[in-house]
Amino acid sequence: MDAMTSAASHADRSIRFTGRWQDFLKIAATNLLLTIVTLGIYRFWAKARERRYLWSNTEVIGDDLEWTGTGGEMFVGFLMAMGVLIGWGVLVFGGAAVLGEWFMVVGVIAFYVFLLWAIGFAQFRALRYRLSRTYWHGIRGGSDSNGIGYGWTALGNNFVAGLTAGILTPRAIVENWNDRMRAMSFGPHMLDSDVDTVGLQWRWMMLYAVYLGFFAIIGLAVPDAEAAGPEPSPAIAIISVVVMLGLFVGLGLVMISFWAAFFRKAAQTFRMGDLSSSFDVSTVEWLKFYAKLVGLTIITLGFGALMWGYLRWKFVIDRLHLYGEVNLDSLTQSTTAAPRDAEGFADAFDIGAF
Amino acid sequence: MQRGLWFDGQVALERPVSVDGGDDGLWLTDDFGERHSVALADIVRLDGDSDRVKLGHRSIEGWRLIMVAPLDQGLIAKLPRRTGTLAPATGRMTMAVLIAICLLATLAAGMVIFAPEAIARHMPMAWERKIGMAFDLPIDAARCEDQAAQDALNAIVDRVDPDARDNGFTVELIDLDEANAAALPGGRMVVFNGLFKDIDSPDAIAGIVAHEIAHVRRRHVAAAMVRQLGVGTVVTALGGGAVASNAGGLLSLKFSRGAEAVADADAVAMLSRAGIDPRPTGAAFDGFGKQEGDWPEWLGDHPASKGRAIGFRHSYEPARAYRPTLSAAQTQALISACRALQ
Repeated sequence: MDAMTSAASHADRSIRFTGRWQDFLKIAATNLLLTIVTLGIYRFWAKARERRYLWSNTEVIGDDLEWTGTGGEMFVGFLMAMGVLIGWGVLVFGGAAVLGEWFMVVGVIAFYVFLLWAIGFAQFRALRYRLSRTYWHGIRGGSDSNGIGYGWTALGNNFVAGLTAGILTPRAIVENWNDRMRAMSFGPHMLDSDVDTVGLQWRWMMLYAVYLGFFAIIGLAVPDAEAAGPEPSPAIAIISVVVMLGLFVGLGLVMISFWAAFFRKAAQTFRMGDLSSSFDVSTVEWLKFYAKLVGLTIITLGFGALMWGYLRWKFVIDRLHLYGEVNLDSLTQSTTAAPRDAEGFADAFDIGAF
Repeated sequence: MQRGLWFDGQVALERPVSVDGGDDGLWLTDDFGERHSVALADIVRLDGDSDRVKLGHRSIEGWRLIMVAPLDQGLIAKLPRRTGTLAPATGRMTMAVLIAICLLATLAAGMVIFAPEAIARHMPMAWERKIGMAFDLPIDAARCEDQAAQDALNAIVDRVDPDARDNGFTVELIDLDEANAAALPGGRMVVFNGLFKDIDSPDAIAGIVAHEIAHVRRRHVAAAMVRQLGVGTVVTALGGGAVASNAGGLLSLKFSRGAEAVADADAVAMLSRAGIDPRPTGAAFDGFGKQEGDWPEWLGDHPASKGRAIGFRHSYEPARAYRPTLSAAQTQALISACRALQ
């Protein structure tokens, strides 16, 4: 291997997870206790601890990742986001007190538009924050965009999806994803993503098929049930339970298949400098993984939930591949501003970066 | 000699270096013989264990020095012993302020839940009046417009609390078939003439009016608003426009049992000061006790009527010359007012 480059294409895994569940369990268990005794305030520090462990045990082309985010800054970010939300409420109610009730109506409508905008904004800021606190070889990522414009384009895409009764939702999802990724960078390299809806649109339409099937069965069954008289027979009761279960299982399967396909495409079209990636995980593998999570949680009387973050991270890293090489000489420090609001907005709305 | 891997934070290049300890810093020598210094004061220990130490630099982001076994213990001893983070130092001041705000908010929430009276005492009466305006329309519409009856009611108020009307407190007669009386926000009290179906003693009416005045004077109304509706709603209600929608919430205000006991004790004292026989009030509570169940809500949360009746009866002093509250004519004017419509 050249001293100046780190090749990702050698036989060894270019990205691998070296953590041990025993180590993580110690962190997760103490985090749980501290979160309980601090009435939940500790959860920001808990998250930072868990990430520091996961990142430092993820080796990318020969060197560990490093998480430098702190619980304090995530707490401050959360308070800032809550401050904005509460400030809005005070403004609306205070304005209504002075100017009259019309101000409240305008304020509440504006607040809902703001919330819809803020969902995109929050996702953007969370991703930007995570990249800015992720170091590899002393170099970090970030974004030169503040996410305000992204919030509006994402809102526009979601609005179009809504206008079409949700049919164009896959378009909104991939457009938003691509926009978000393309605004990010690591060191001097812009990230790139070019997901399209091929293979996603028909999966999404299956949701409608499941609904149609459900209503068709109901439509056929209801006249029979009515003919049977006011006292429903046990058979009909059982059938209706099975049909309802069928609806939920059907919707769940379609969603897992949709997201499995989405993440395969997202990894395939991801670019960072000369690096590319793949994540060939099938719907069945995801199903097995979730079955494992649920099984573990039930067997451990719920305590298995402590390990979800670890298991998800391991599942993804174990199946993620990186290709290409990184020129260490030209991988210079990021010039993006380091954000201060951490994941405040994402935390306030309880959504993730992806 | 201690070996290490150095990242300068400018490029991703990984540089093998040898590390030497100076008096107040470290010297890093790379494979080309170039020497770089770093002051001990700038060094932060990021993590590490018995065979690996990772260092960062306070002012150069991404600067990392990773030293691996075998570790030169003499050199390690010079380094900061505890691990830290590279969080910006200015963050701590902000943190302190934010935590203080959090604590204050928690304290305020705790006060609302556990000590609403303390907040209520400091709430301007003008606020309460403004909120009480929500009732102007319904009360004005239902008021019993009978001057003689209102005069009789005012006479009762002046007897039990001579300053009440000067302080802006009012007791009005409402033409409604409800055996009820209530203290509304802002020192406005109402007596429903349905009450007089069961109670025709002016002394007992005085006892009930005294009880309501006690609620007003003790700011129990404001406390109940703070406790049940929250400070936010009280402030919102000040807006005026939004008040009507909150009137429903205000009507269902309930005083705490402690507040009821205090109001009863105050009423006993007021009757005694005014020289009014407390026994009819006791008898009235006895009557409420007998028909509890279909008794209206203002008694729903009251201490058991039996016990309350005893409180009033015990304050009776046989040797004392009590004076009647109202004349027979005044009493008649009050208890028969607006009854024709019912």
